[in-house]
Amino acid sequence: MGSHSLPSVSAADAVAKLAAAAALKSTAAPAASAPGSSTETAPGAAQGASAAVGDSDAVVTAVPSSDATAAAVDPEAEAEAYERANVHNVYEAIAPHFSATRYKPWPAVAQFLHAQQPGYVGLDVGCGNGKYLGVNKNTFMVGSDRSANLVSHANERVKELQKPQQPEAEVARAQTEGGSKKEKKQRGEGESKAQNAVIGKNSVREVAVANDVLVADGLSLPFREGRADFAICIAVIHHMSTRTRRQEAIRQLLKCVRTGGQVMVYVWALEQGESRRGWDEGGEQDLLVPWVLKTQQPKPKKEKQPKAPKQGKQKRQQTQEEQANTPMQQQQAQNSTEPQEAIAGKSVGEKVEAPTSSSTLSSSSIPKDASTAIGSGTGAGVTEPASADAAAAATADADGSDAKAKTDTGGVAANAADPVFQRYYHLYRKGELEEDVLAARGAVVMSGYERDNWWVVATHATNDEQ
Amino acid sequence: MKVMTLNFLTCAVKNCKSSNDSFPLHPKEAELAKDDIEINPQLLINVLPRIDWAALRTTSTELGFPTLPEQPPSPEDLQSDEALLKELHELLMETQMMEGKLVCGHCGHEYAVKNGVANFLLPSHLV
Repeated sequence: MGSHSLPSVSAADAVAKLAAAAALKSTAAPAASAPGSSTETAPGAAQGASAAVGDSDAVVTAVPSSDATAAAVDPEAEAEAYERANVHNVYEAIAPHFSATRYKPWPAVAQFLHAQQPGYVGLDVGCGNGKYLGVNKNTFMVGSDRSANLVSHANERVKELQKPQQPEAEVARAQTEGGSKKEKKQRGEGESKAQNAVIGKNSVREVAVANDVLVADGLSLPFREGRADFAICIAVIHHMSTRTRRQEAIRQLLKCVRTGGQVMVYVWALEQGESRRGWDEGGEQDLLVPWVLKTQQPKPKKEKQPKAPKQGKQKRQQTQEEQANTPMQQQQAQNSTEPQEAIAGKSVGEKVEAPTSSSTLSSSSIPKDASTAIGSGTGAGVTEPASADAAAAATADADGSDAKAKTDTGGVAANAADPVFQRYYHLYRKGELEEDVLAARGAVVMSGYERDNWWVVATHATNDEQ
Repeated sequence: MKVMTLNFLTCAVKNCKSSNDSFPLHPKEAELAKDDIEINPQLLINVLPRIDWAALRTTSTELGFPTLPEQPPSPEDLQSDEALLKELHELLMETQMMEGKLVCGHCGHEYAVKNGVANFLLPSHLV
């Protein structure tokens, strides 16, 4: 078949330029304002010590069940607007920080991905920073996310993965996610063996080098129906504020995959009896969970930080501890803090109490007044940042180095300015995810519980004609 | 945005999904680039049957490449012909649409591609 004449494109060295442009975009882009739905990454996904800070001082607010409030004039539009304020805009704003804390695949997800056959084409809906792209090197995956900022991080990762591998794969990987130094640091020094087992150093070389990403809404996906071999949707659907929308999201995923194709969905569980969050069976399921956007990176450089504030040191110790812990413990650490009680019946627009004084892990570095005045009626579900500058700075410091500079001089005063973002979550109770799969005209292949999350692998119901 | 990916994309508007006119999306004012990506024969050979070849021919032509053969190469062709494998790799995996628009042939909606990333968020009246 030498007669085939496939085109070749004149090479243009646009990669570096692209990466630069993407980085620029990721830091400069304002919060999105388009309507829609899904965006996300791992929920309590405890992937790093930054996360411990990010979610620390968590005062969780219960919101009235959206299902119950859906009687408004245009419930769909209302749900969209709600998610825009309490999910989408939040991720746009915290994308750099969030991305820097997300790099380790959940074991059940990694297992699912590794089970896919060579040549399979997969989708990662709500791919966040793209940490699942590249897990199975013989598949081609397209990641999508509602947050353009997160996608731009994911795109950098894609570009990095497809570069010719350097001898020190860790370095290449560390540079991927915009958090080069701190990332490398995390991985290099504190990485647990368990983590190595999942995406360990050797397997980093084994990653898929060809992936792609795009910006899309989980309820209006641009994928040709029935073409994908599999899809994953990790820590996404719990951000949708009505059950109808959550079920529709699963329906859309099922439509994307071919007959016999499998869809894995992973959501935060209500039953988290093992965690310190204090949520468990019978509790409130619809919550606002804070993300403290630290201007201070939690990974002070070991070597030179003569003036590191005291809490910085403590922080580092905690960090290493956390990383040495089991993933489960890490996760607990991440969303961290005391079993703050969900405040039943707290309405969305109401204020939330400031954190009380007993946060265990990160209290030393986060002033108690950091998150007073949580009013989510306006903006992006953001607590009043003490200063808009701080918020902007925090948002812009994806590259870590800048952040450190601020950190060193900013000290406690900067911490006081850390904005707190409220993300909406629907915590799934046992069995609910399976119910939603059935409602979406799917069939449950298998399901389980992993570290405070419920997961399910679904496929088309046999009587469902695509 | 890889050519490979374009082969799996359609319009995000619900009413367009069932129309054949919405697939493939049509590149417009496309600026292309070529990445240097390590070839993975096992992936390519197995991906081939998943490609909609007719759509790929359309896309390839619209991007200004020479017309593809009517029939896709067979897995055996790919296995035995390294040059062919490489050409396919270059087209599917290495060719990037960096800037431009993707246009739905059914509703006419245009999706922007910037910095190599396509954005499929819809304006509210199309959701």
